[in-house]
Amino acid sequence: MNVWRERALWGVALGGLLVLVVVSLGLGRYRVPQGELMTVLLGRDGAMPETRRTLLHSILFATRLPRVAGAVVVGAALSVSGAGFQAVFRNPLVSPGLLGVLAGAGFGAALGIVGGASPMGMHLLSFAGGAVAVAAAVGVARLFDAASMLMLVFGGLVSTALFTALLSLLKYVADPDKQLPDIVFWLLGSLTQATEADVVVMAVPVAIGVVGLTLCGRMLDALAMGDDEARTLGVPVGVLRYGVIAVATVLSAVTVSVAGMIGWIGLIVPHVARLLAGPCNARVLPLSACIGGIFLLVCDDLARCVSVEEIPIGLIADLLGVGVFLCVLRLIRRGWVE
Amino acid sequence: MTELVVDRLSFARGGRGVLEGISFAIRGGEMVALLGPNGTGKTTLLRLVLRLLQPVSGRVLLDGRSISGMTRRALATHLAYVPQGHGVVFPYRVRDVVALGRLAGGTMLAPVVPAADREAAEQALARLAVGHLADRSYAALSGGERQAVLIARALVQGARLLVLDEPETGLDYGQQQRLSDLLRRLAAEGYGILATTHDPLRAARIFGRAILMREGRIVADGPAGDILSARAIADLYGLKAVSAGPA
Repeated sequence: MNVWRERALWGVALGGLLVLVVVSLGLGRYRVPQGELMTVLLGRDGAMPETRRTLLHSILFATRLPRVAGAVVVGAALSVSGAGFQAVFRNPLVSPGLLGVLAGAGFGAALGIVGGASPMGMHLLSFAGGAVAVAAAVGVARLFDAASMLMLVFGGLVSTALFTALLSLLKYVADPDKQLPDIVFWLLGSLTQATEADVVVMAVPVAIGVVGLTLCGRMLDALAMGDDEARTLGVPVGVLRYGVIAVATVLSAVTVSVAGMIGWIGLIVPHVARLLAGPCNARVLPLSACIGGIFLLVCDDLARCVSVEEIPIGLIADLLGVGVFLCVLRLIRRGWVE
Repeated sequence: MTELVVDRLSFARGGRGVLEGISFAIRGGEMVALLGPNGTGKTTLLRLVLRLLQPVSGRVLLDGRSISGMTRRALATHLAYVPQGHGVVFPYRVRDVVALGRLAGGTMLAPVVPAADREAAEQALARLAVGHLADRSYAALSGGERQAVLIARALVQGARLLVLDEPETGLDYGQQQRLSDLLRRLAAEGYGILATTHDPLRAARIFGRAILMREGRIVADGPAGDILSARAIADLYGLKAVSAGPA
């Protein structure tokens, strides 16, 4: 990719994200006209009546901004997590759920709902569930052959099955009037409960993770050539593989604690990024973050606006993801070597 | 001049001995072919030399230093591996594949390919007369082109010893000739070359030296033209006779 094309791509991606964020802030049940929206966002609202200004600040900054920011951060985290997993497993069909992180985090959060945990407790339980699930997957792989990626995938299948079963058990014992609907609704994925604190808790590890994985991009490219080759190129394969798995796990687990289960995106977005920027991970990872943010923000806008009752974002992301995937499948396949 | 010394190397897998007391040395400028029937331990020996496996006993020395005490990066700047031209899942461009050779000697953590790495990759491709492939997808290349690209990557690595695993596999006659010319040119420039091969007649013509292995041991080591006689080849592969002797 030449320099100008790359600059244009980044300009469109970042510009598109910025425009979408601004547009999204104006969307919702209470419509904020674009003129007023820009006046407030640019801080030129001094001449506005006090009551109107207070109302708009409350809607835009206290209610919508955490949600819009949450959608961007969750989309970015899941997409980068998926790109990281696809790189370490050298497999375009891998998604963040491969090693059981989503099932484990889902179980942890459901445990929090049943146990009446605080929001911070939900974050911790969800993250712990995801981490334990991945540790279980790695543990199963180590029982047989830790160096084998096939065994790691097998460990992921076992771990996913285990935590899915445990989640079903929790649903079975949950109070059917209060807790069960909460679990089911939460599992469908939603950003309605996202607060400023949630976004901050998520954004810090996500930003560190995206930068860290991007810096490892060239080593991940070497890993694409095979473990032995990467080693002979000087890459510390074991440290890299488990380091990326750990970071990708954290990225996925923190999204589950805030937004519930949102699938698909971690599988699709890295392909779109690869299609636009080529296969080098130093470009694919940050571009996945940007496209993932755009994709989930569009999903959240639809979730908020297509009907009077809000639709779970996980559902929209799945439906839209299927459509997008089918539309770009022909182009994406050029990026795979069969 | 770089020297690789393999000193009484033994290796076992699952309690069964695979290699037993392997010793030899290779200096810069030497072209050494490693021959023997399938399952005799040639690839295992290459993997031990590259420190991809740990020996049961013995050691591998690079310029007098044991490779077991070297970091992966340091080893990579001395010793480069050229595998068989393989496929990759994602369609990397040739210039990106070659630039990976600079990882060990350059910056591992970088958000972009440094300009110096890009330049080194282009120079290596031009040196091997395959500069026109730079923007092609590595996955779309022929077997011979892939071999040339992987050798270019090895040159970018800065290593003076190249370890090649059956480099002529899957190449047509013309590609084999071009590869042979390339390896001879590199040897003339002072590169040490160790390659496994299944073609003793070709090895006798191209390589200066041959090491013959059978059942995990070295059975002969010397000038390729001398030790690769029809009789020795027949003995090595368990044949009654070889129809054509080395040219």
